[in-house]
Amino acid sequence: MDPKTQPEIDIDQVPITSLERYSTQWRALYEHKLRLHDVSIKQIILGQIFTLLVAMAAGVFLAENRSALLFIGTTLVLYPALADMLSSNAAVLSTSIHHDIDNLSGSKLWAIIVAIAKTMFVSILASMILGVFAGLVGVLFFETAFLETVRLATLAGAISGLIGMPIMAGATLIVRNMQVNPDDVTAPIETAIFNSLTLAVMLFIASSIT
Amino acid sequence: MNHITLPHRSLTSAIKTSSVAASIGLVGGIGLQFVTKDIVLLVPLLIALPAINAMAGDFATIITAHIGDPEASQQTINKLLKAMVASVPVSAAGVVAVSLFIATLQGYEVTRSFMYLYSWFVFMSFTVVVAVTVLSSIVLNKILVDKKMNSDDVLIPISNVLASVLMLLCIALAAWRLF
Repeated sequence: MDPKTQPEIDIDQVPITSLERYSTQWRALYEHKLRLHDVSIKQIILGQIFTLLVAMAAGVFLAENRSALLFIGTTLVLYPALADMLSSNAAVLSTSIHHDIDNLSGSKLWAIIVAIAKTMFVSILASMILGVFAGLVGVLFFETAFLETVRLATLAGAISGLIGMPIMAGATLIVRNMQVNPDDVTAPIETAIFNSLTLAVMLFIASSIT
Repeated sequence: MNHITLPHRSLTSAIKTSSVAASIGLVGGIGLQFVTKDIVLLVPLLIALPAINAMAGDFATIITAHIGDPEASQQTINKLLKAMVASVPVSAAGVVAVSLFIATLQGYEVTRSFMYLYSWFVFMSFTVVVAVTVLSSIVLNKILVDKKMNSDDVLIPISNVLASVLMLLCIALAAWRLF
């Protein structure tokens, strides 16, 4: 309705109980939204501590299995790019769920399942493409076998994605239910999970292939 | 509103962005591969490698998720900058302390000069990566909003790869020249 055509309401005529009820409701809505979109230094630092502990465990694993880095010459070329690609896809999944879920019509569960499936599909295809580029880099600079690198990238991307993406979607929903902004909290979980998981999967596949 | 369009409004653009971003990310890995022999000898840096890479990704995702949030206000961005100023030294201190502690347990001999140099390197790398990510995210987000593109789909992969490449190049340079 056009505000100009609305009849003027005298605030003094509105019952005090209605004013009370609506002011509390607006306040609650405002605080709920603020909690979900605010920046929290405490949450960011706690998240970084979580990353530190999980990724350091992966670092110790790497230091103890450093010889596996030499099995396939492109492992270190692939590892950061693959881990970053998977964590950024998980971040897209998580932020999209958080930013858009309240505006969705229809089944939210189905929307989330479709979202996870799409993210996995994107991750597997991107891993394969990444493997092709890394394979070419390996052939040009490090004298490594092209197909071995493509296989390593695709398998590692697929296995890590299949395990990690549903975990991330679940984590986003849990964090939202706790009235905490997933933008602050899920990023450390994503990077910690995918940096550790990808490294472990890659070192395992590298040892198995060779 | 359609539930099918939750993440990745367009699958092809998501695949393109992911593949291109990841392929650019190879640059950082190539740098690392060239200095593999040096890094293998620098046990604290090798132990810290996944954590440093993960934390650079964390900062990139947190920064871009807030800058790209349609509900974010100028006040939120200011709070984000303050949060970065507070969390970068804490993260750097955590990485340095834990990696040096584990390396010492594994028999790596840590000298005082190495400790200073290593601490300075980790702190400066985080600072550079966060500063570049904030600036590039603000600029890119404005461009994406003007072009009416979904910033979540594009900004996060680009910022992540940018932060990671920068961080890995810092590590490669440090392993090659600094230590």
